[in-house]
Amino acid sequence: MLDAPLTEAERFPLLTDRGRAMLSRLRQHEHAPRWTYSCGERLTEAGLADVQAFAARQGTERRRWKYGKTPAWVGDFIDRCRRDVPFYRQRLIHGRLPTCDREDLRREPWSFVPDSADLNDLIVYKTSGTSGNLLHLPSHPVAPARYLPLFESALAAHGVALTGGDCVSLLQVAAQIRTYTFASISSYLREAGHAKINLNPADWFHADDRRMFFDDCSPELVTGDPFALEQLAELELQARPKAILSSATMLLPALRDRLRRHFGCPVIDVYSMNETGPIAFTHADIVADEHEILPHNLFVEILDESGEPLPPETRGEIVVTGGVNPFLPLVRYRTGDFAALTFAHEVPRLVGIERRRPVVFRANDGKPVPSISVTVALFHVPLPFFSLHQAGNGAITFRTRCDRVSEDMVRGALADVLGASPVVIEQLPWEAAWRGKSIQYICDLEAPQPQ
Amino acid sequence: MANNGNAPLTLIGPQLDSLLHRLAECPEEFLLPPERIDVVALACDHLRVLGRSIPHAPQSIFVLALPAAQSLAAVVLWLLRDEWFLARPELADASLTFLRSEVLAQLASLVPAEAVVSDADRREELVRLCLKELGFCPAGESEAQAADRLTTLDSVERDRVIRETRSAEARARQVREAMARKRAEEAAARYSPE
Repeated sequence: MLDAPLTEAERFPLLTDRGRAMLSRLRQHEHAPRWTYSCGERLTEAGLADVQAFAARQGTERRRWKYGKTPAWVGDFIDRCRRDVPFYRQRLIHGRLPTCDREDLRREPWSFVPDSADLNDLIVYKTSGTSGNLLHLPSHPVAPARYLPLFESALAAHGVALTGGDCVSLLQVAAQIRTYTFASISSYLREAGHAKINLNPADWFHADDRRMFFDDCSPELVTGDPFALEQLAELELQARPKAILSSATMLLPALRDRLRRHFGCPVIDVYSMNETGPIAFTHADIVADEHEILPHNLFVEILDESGEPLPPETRGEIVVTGGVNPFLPLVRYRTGDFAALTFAHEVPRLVGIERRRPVVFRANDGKPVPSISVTVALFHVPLPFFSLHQAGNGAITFRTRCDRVSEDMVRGALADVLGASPVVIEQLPWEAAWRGKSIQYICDLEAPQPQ
Repeated sequence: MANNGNAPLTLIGPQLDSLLHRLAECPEEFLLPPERIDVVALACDHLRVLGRSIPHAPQSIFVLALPAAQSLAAVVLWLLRDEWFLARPELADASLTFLRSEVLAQLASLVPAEAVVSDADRREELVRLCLKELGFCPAGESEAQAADRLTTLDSVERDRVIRETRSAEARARQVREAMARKRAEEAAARYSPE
């Protein structure tokens, strides 16, 4: 079913002539793509004030806590959830703080909406996870808009500031068979332009329009997934953004470095989920595989399967409390992703994020090899995506899309970590690449017994 | 809160059973509808028995009470004629306050006067409520035991829980319907892929 269209006034309640001019510029640009969708920020005056207040708190409040302690705001937040949110009212009793997960959101998303929530402000996002289950997430227009101050915070750590105003501040690039594309503006960025484009040539009147549109927009900031960013680097662009944010799947360090050299700007990997909003980002000083916790109102724990907190530097499931979405307050939400926490820096950091349940492969000599070790071994190969499949007989198939040099590097890296097993590397056709965008590990071997 | 002197906040009251027994034997004429029974006259009788003076305008005692509250007040006046209360005329003012109290009016709005006589739980609820409002525990019970038992019987509290549950169900239905409606509507622009 097609989404019911809104009026322009509903999409942009705060639109002025300046924003209207920016919208016309983007929509009627001579090199514009075939826009496939209409949508806007939907921010009202109260919504904008909320985002500005959120930005002020993000700028002043500490994102710091010690292992075994919780930040001061967490207690109040949980009390509010217990009083105001039906889901937690039933669960957070007798001093217990049980975890919740995606299945809870799938089963009863409405029970996460606070009683005090004004349903006139409700919006719903659809999202399908890796398991393919469709989720309907209750949300509020301030939730996506609060990403902007978080992005600013991550950019500031790299010495970059957005100007906003009479320019295109943000261009989101996709590289997919089909996706929503639209032109919008951001009141928070003083009505600067914002658009989402799809690099698939089928979305444009002329393949060259992609380059011309991008160069003319000359966005301050580009966001996209690693594959789309790699595709963007293939175009002979003149414009140079101030920074690039990569999200959706993990950005391998070698691709990050290649993009940084190509565009001459910081390239920041943002670990983010629909349910939670941005969680962590790669800091400018990071050489290892670390992501610094980003929002001031997000508390992150690493738990084992029974829900017990694990000590620093120990890998377990990433569990979060807080988040950007006032209509989906999260108390101990299991992300389904895995990492360790380190407290060695001013702000806690996640180490070795794996965006799915870890898989254990078997090396040539029979030793178990956790999937994170494979990821780390591939850090120096600039791959946009890949999957690794070990069959029941131990045979390894690696699927990706890369050049010959990278393919040789993959063979070397896999030999280092898995031994001299025969590896089949399948180069996926471009069409497949435009569908897939992830890093996947599959192992058909039986799980090794604990020693 | 300060407790001046050494007197306990709640005093030891009468045997619960004897009051329950009295209430169960409430004469039918006390249960007549308010238009056929003069509750003000009953209250004045009570004050007279206690040796207290009658207020200048006795009809003002129940001037604001709804019919259901007047019916229940009549039953309470029967209860207060128990020897134990009659031996304590100093409770007259507190008794009048209880008769006109919001808590008794709330109970009256939920429980008919007949039930307070015929139903064992409601009988016990009224006796316990009456003692609590006058500042007494049933003999042989601690304050905590008495409070605990009254909570179990509390009609007003149970009604609140039921109404809260109903309103929670109504809210859940509202949110579900709103989500179904908004699912088919444009959301708000997002700035990065997830």
